[in-house]
Amino acid sequence: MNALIFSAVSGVIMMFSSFLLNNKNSVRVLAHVLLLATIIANIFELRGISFFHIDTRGMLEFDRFALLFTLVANVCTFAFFLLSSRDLEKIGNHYSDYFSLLFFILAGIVVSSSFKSLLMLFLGIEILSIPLYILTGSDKRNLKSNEASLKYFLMGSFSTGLMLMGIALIYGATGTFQTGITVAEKVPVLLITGMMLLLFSMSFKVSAAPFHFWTPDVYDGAPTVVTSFMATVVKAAGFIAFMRLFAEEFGSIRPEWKLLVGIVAAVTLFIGNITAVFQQSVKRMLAYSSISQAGFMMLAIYSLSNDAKEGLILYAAAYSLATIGIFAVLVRMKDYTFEGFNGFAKQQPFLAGILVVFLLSLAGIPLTAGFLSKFYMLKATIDGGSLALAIFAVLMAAVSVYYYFRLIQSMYFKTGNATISGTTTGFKYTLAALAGITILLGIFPNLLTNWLYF
Amino acid sequence: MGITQILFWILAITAIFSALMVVISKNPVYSVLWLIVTFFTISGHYILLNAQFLAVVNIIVYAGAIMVLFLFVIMLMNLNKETEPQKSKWLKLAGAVAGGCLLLVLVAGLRHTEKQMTEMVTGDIGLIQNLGKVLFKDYVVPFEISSILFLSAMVGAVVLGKKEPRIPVETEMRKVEETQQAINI
Amino acid sequence: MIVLLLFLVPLIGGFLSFFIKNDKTVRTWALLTSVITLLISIAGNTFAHSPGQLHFSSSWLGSLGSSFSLQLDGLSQILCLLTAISYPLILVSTWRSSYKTANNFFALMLLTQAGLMGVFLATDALLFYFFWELALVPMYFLCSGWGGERRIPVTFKFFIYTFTASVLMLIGLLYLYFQTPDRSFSLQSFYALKLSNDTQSWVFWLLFLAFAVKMPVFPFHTWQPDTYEQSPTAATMVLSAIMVKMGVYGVIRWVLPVVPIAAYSWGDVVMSLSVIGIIYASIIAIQQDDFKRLIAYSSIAHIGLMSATLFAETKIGYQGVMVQMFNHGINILGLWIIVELIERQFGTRKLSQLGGVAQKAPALAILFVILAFANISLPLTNAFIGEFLMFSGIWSSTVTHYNILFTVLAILSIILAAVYTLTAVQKVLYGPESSITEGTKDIHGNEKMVLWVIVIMVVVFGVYPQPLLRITDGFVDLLLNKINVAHLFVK
Repeated sequence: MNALIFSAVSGVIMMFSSFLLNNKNSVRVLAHVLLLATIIANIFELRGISFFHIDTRGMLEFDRFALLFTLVANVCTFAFFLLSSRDLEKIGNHYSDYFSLLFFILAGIVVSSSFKSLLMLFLGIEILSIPLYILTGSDKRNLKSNEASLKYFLMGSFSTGLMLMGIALIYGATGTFQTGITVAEKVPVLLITGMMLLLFSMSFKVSAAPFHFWTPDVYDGAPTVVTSFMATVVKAAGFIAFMRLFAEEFGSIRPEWKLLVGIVAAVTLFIGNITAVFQQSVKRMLAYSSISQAGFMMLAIYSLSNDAKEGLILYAAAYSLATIGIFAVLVRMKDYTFEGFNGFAKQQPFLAGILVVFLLSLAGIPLTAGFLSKFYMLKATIDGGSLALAIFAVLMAAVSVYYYFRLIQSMYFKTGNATISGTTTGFKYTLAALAGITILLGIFPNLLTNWLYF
Repeated sequence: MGITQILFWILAITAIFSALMVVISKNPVYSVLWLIVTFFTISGHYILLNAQFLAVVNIIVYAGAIMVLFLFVIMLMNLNKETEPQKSKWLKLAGAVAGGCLLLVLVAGLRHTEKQMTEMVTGDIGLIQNLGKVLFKDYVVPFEISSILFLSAMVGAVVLGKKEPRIPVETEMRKVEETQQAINI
Repeated sequence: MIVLLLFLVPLIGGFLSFFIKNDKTVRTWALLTSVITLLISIAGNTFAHSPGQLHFSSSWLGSLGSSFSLQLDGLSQILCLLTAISYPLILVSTWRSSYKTANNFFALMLLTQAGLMGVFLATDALLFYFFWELALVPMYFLCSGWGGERRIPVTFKFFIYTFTASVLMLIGLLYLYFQTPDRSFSLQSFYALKLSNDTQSWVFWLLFLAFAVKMPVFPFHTWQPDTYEQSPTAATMVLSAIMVKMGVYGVIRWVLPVVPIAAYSWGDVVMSLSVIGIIYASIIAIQQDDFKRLIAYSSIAHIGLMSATLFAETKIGYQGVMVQMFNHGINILGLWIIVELIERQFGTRKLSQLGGVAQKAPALAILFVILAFANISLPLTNAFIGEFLMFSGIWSSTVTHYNILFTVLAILSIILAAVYTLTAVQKVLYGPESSITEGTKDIHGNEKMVLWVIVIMVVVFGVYPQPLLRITDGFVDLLLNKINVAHLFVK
């Protein structure tokens, strides 16, 4: 509750700051301070101290899983602010409004990661999506941005429609919005139909195949800073909601959907990885890589064990940190293609080294958080009884090495003059800190996962 | 067959017919008008369910405000039969097949659904007094949280709608050219 | 403690190397680190062999059932010794090669060494996998960063091959983990497993594939000649002298005792593949004109013999493999140094363009000939001991019906090795001088010293192999106890 109220209020404050503060620097500082306050408030709640006591009638439950993910999302957003808030400035004139929208998204993340009622799920997902539609189109003079925004909006609304239909059918079957249903021996058809519709719409939100078609265009068209946020924190939040929904609401009818989710995971892995191989632009490659990483996260929903929960949190952190880091560098590049990175290591050895850590993490090489999170997923999948899916997943991970290492090859082994602008010392140190966290979590994942229990 | 049932069937058939017409009509203005009919039939359903408040709100908000806006937009942009984008035959066929499959699956699935549906204990939840009580007692948290949703939508409207300060024509032209090139690629 | 140091010294030394900008200093630093590692390794083999020194265990990733545990037993000892000896030799012999950004080069070299040490020491499956990749990734950067013209695609192929196989191995290890009663990745729990025959079969292939690619066994070898050819010589030395042994080691440590029944039932297949590989690689080696590729194929043949012997399951054979792992590492190191010298002096590796070197460079000629004899495994060279033991091992094998056939075919490899090695010797050293070799100078300095050290080892271990045999003796007995399943099938 702390984080929810803090972030909502922060959003309102940022909204007003646009005419109270003239200086863009002070707006930025204010945003950082507010987010930091939100993080601290959330840590307090994680330690059992809640500032607000609101009776939610069981519609929201701030359990450790939800709180920990909120923390991860907030910290990743903070990293995003530190690295990219200056680039947010370049999108347009509504600097403080962008922050305000980001804070509202954070509020949506809290809701959608702690819902106990399908109504809340719907609200959370909507609060999370609507500001994103706007941010995607915030570069108003760019046709691609407009197109992306419209596409995202139309597709998003359609999937929201499916979700509502699903929720309505489930309501019809069970007579309640609360999650945690128990079913008799015969599962009502209405419930299964509703579950399917929810599965589709959630798959759409997390861009799992075959509902992923919007992803590359939208990620490519949106201003790169925004892409960096929506491909990481928001996507991870979608997965947490997905996980919660299927663990709590449909956990009891698992045999009905297990195969389907397994197929979705496999198809997502396949399509994401194979298409990413053919991309020439790093931004698009990252868009497809986000699809393929989504395939790995789907494995958590497939298996629904404790390992899967820990792994999903770890995955969210590892994937978000690495991708935010890469995007932060990408924004500053002149040329977004692979060739644009040629010779990068010679000019920016420090940044290149850090990028390598991020790329290794995304590829799942040991000693990085990316490996352990993938490892958790595989472990959960094998425990869940599907060795074949696990084998398929690692083969796809091997494919992913191809396109991540292509960037490494460009940076290190090819000659060219990569142009990057606006790298300050602070920027470099922040990136180094992110890389440090990535490695630290890769060696001691307990630093993060223990929060789930203690 | 009581009067309620007869009314239900009439409303249901009208609703489906008018909804189909929204999609089928070539002229956008007709589409909007059919949509208004659809909203009215749905309001009729609400009344059958003893939810007068919802019925009225539905008419005021959707049929009244939103549809008028729609009409304005369509007329301002001067959309008509000629400007309707022509989709290829195959695309239409694919859409029809996909949609038909979904329909088939849903119908086939729900056909076997249990006769006995969960019902409300009393049928007067839709009355304005009861609705208010439920909304502000049981559902006050989601009610408040939806304010965030609307707030973000408002901010978004400002961000997207506010006029940008003018920038030199040359830069704008260059930007447009650049994006056009990017799209062509 | 010793075991921890074996891994930590190169690791820390490697990390520090990144920050040493001066070319000379970083070389010295890397050499110093590797010499210290060598001293530690020797200490571990001689006086400091109390159990407390040779084991190290600490909790790590407890919730995943994994721990940070290292152990130095007979098998590890011989491979760690090989790694520790090779590194100073490699660094000294390539002392004069110049590298751009030398600090990164040497840092990656040392990190690879840390990874290799870790692989040979780890007794926890997850830790083993960590080190397996830790050895691979720096090697990728080494080969791609400092290699020849086609280095990028070639090294990438190498990386993808090994990475794909290794993730499959990860799945195999994970599966085994779920079969252990206490959900643990430790080697002991894996050894205690009693799996059904079918399960063993496919776990065997999941694991074996990773090692087969690394060794490489016949159909999985295609990455190897290209990579050897394109890599910088120092990296090629590490790859061929030490890294291929990771595969052999992996089979001995993680495959044979864990899935003995599958090893028994698939033994014939693997042995056939290995023997095919021996003949195939030898024949290709005969046709090679590029000296580096010739040695690469010869290496495939030698390793093929080892992998065939692994599945013969005889004591004498295993001892041969252990000894030969060490000896092959030393010998091929010497050969690479010869290649490097020739390439540096004449600017070409094409055998057809060389000739008549012996007259002007007698020292080089002598050393080269001795190493060539070792490559053919003539008596009195160290390789003879290893290969002879291995042939006897295959011959006396009771687990296969085709032992005689395999032995005969494998012995062909010696004849073929004689053909290609002696041809190379003849083309380089004798015959008329070509235009390139007119101004030949003899070797001197570092290379000469290193080559003499190697040659002395070749001869000493050829005459007196007991030290090596003693190290591995106890281990081989234990191994045979674990994998001896033949009695289950006797009717």
